Amino acid sequence: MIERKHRCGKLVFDRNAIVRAALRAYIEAMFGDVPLKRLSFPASAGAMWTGDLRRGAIYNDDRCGNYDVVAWTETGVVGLAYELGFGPIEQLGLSVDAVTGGPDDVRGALPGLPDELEPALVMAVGLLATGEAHPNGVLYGERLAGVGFWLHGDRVAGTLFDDPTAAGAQRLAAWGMVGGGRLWPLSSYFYPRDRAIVAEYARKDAPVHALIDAVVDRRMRGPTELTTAELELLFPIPPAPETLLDAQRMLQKVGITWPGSPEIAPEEP
Amino acid sequence: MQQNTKSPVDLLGVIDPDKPKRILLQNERRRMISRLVRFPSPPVGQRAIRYAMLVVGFVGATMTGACGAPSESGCPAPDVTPPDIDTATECPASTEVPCMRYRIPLVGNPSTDVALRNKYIAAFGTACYMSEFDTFDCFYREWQAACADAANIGEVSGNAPYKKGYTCQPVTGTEDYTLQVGSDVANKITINYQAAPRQTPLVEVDGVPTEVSGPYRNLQEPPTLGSGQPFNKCDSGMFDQNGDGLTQTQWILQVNSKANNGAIHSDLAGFKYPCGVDENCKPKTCTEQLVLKAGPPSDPDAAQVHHVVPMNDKRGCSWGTNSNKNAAVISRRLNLYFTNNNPPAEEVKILNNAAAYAP
Repeated sequence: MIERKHRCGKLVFDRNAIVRAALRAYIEAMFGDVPLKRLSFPASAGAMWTGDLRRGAIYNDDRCGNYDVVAWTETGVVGLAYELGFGPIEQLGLSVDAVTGGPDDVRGALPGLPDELEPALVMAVGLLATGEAHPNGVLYGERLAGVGFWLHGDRVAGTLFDDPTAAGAQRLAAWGMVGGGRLWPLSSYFYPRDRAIVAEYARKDAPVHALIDAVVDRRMRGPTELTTAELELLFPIPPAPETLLDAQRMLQKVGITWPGSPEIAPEEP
Repeated sequence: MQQNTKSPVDLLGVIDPDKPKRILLQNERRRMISRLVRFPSPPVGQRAIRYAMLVVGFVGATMTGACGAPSESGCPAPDVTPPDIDTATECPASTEVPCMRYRIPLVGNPSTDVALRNKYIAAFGTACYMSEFDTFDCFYREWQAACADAANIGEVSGNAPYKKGYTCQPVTGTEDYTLQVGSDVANKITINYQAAPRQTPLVEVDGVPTEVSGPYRNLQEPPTLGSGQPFNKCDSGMFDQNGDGLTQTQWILQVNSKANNGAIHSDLAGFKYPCGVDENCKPKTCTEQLVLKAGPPSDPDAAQVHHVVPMNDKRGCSWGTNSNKNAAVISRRLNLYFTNNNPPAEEVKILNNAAAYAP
């Protein structure tokens, strides 16, 4: 865990809190939108998951084209963010001739990245979008991120700190404000009015949030299964079979099953 | 931004190969700042002051509508506490307000002289733009880039070239820089660090500056409306059939889906745009599909709510608003294409002529 001062306030980067917040945000995204909608204003408008709790990554977007990706290994975290129009060419000085479509496209956001975090960078880059055609009509296919940070042991660095007003920095700053392992909707960090609304709905949806917290806590200790009571709260009306199967698949991906869903292999120690 | 007390020459330093490419490029640009010619230093324009006042006024208006932070109103409850931060002044939303940038002193009157304006745009690119106040200027995020272009104002404007070989110098006690442009040390121009006015949100369609008024124009506007505002804020003022709150993004997608029997349709279906080359290395054209996907979010055909006039301009200053008029539902791939290209007239034509969705 390490604290850093930032224009967004005091940021605390904690690998385990980030992983918990990622898992929680992924589940919130599922239950924060149709067809499963059980809560308002989820932390993530659109989430994808890869890997597991030891080595994995989350993609978190706003359904408007802006996103962040956070990837972790046992030893640390890599975070990258993109705001429309501010990719590596525009914001990191990447030359179009140097575009590879791989990790080197965005390495400029992560100066001094320790070798041990290369696997995390590779995972993160795997979830980044690639650029479309530029005004000259040429498609370079650059990986799209314009700002980043890395956390390794008691060290944290990246253009999030070197260029704190960079486009996308706020998306990453939010990962330094996941006290208790919970990410909140991005706008609630920066707009007081949104914060009040989110608080109001968090109270209204408290039972579902409490359930998610309980499931996440169990999952952080190992693969887990939803209980009958939890299923009743999450699915008060039985969803369509294909919706249910999608939900089962999404939860299975993060090691959460329920009676009747396929068994998952135990996680490696 | 911290005051830079070192001279640009001092800042050149030794290039550290481990530093990110951006820093290396900045150093390259610093080396470029070297050739300047005499030109009278203009006074700090009154226009700059007017910009600053207008921007400050805008900020004030935006904040007026916001209720206090939860801590000020005695909420939230201890068990449901959103981030305990006071960001109202420390960390403004996605763009800086006011948007402080380096302005180079253009020669002539490009605000009214279209030919001169086009010369500046051709030479200095997206740094130069028409503001919503019908003024034309060039603003830069980094002083090095501003100085590099400022050195070329003479020839670009069609006047005598500036004498080269000088470097920008910081003005003590300010964020401004001066650049000697002639052999007389008194002959210098000032690169002012000042509030950049908002780029005009009007799009030129068939020679006419046109307001974007897309297919969601008839939907109720959110309570807080302004440039640089995202669509995914929680105070959209919209609710679903169960009375639960929706973000503007969710609301727009639901309106679209409801009108299309549960499917999400692109508002720019049929739009053609360049998308690389085919197997024979010939330029390829993509066509926007009619039916978009709800997910996964990484799918090129995933539905996204697009700011027709982008939320941020090329200088990273706020530009397009979160008005429903400025929204369009399109695929992720097309959205990524538009982010590299200012709103094309063709796009605005299609959206402005599209039938309006019913609330």
